Amino acid sequence: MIIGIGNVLTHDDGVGVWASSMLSRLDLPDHIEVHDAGTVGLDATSLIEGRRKVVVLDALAADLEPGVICRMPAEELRPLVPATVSLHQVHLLDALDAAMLAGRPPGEVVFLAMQVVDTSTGIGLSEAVTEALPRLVRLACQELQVPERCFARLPSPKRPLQWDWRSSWA
Amino acid sequence: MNKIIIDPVTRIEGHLKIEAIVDEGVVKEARCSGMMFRGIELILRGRDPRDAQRITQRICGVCPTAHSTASTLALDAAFGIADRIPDNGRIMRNLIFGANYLQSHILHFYHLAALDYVDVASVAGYSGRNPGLKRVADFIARGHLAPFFPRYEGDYRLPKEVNQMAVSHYLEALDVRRDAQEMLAIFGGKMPHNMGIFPGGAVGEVTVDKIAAYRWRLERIRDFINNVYLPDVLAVAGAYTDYFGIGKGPGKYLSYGHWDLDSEPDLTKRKRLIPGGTIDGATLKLQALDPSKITEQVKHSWYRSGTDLRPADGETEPDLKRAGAYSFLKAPRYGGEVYEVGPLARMLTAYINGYAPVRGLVDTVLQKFQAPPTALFSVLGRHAARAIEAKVVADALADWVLELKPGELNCARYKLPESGSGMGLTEGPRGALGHWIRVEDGKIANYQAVVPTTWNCSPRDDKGQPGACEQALEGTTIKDAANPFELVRIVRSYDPCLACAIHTVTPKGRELGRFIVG
Repeated sequence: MIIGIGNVLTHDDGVGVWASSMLSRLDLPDHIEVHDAGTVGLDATSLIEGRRKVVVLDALAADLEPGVICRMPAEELRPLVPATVSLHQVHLLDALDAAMLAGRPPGEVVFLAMQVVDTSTGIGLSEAVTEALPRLVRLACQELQVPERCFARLPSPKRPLQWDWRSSWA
Repeated sequence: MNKIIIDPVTRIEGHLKIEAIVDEGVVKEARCSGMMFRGIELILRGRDPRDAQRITQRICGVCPTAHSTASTLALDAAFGIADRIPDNGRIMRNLIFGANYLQSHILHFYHLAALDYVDVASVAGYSGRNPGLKRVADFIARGHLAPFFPRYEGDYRLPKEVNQMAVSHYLEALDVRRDAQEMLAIFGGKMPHNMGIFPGGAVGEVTVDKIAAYRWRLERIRDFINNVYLPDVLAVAGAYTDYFGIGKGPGKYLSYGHWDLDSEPDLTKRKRLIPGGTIDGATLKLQALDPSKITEQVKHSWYRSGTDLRPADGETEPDLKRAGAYSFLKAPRYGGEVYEVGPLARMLTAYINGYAPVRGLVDTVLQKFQAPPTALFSVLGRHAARAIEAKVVADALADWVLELKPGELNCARYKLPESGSGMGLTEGPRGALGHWIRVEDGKIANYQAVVPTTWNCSPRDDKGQPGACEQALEGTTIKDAANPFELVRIVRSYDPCLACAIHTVTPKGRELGRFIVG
């Protein structure tokens, strides 16, 4: 399971959602599900519970170079919250707790989070984040041992990203 | 006078702050401040109108379904097709939104509100056979308290067995919520941010398989509501009867009406399961809804926009330096007066309009506690109304899903007009939700949304009248200043969709304590 989280209405904050919509256009193996979870809260419980492995794509607000991607297993993240990172991850950890309480914890939860630049109101990604987007997609695929041929040719991140009523990636 | 700061109140959704001045144990003055600026209208201007339905859902992750509905109703009107919604499309909208309602109400009671009344600590050291309770005991033993703490200590009144049962229901509610989310996805395509509700009706195929898949999940949820949720609300009410007298609020109620039963283009005349209208708690008379009476005032809000504007003409110009302002929420008013919105308002309009299932359930609750109707205007009244609504909606969904006709049209065909305007009035789980759109040259020229929590948690208005939740807090007696249960129980009874921080302030500004509250 790959989940993209974040708010596409606050620019880079939505990078995880943009990545998930890019992933959903790839021909991935059937056992891998991709979900654009947007600004989901505790509702994420039903997306993650009982899964063998969950890869969460998210935005990161640390003090790193824009576009840098951090890999963080959920259990290592827990002691850091709420000191660092994004609000979505707090929600995701709550959802993880709920899945554990329900007796259906996922096998493994890994965050892939990208350092972002602009989280002001508006749609679209900053240049640095746009350029790093295919790397996030590739890392997510590698995390789940997706065969290389499935993601060898990704759409170019150069052209401006659009969001409209037909689809999330146009 | 005491100063208590609660910052933030957890177990609610979003960012809100409440400040209260307490004198000799009584709240003299309370202020609610929304701390989030959204600016959705700034994003939408200049876009294809159809984008509104997708984009407004992203305002928040808690009630995306409500925004997609309000937005779609506004688009139906702007496109001139509000009278052409096929029955299948109308029903699918109700089914998608209904699934969201059930999960929202159940989430609110078990996962946000119940922990104010149910003592999770009673499960510590549990050694019985219930696997769920064993997991909770294990969480507590490991000091992994995040799902239940922080919280106040002291006023937990339920016996140990009842506490343990309620905690096991907290876990069962997680399963029920999953069923509800799957129901939403059956007709909405995905959850969160459904793709089904669309101008003209709904998209996606109706099949017999989908009907069956929806219905059997619904049956499990109806079981839960009838045999677990409603009895638990009554059990809590029985132990905390004083909360029938706490947290009254303005005593005026507003509902836009919900669950379309026909395709009448004028939403105030459209036949709806829960009728729209206003009610004055003093006379219990239902008045017809007049949307032209809705305005937003900004004297105490961080905006430089004009005040007392109708939403269709609304402006959003933030001004963080505005003197006397203390909230990003505007103050919506109806005819210049303060109104409460939410399940209680809806159950009152349905009751007074004579809807039999609501009448029966409300009367049963009042008889059980030998309480007069005015007892409903309270913290417990809101919880009871929410539970009753869950049952009424679940029962209606069970009928509607069988009215779908596989293979028939779901969505009207139409051409986009160059210009138009529309108003989308509906009810989110938390109350009256309105979207207003104006289309010019085929693009969005203006867009405004007035959301439930701005009604309930609004700041003071131009006349200085406190908002609904502020009024509910003022006058409340706080028994234990170190554990001001009363304040958080009142705030959570509204199910606000913003986080609240409660400050209790002395004129001298002496701070007695700072608490993070559960």
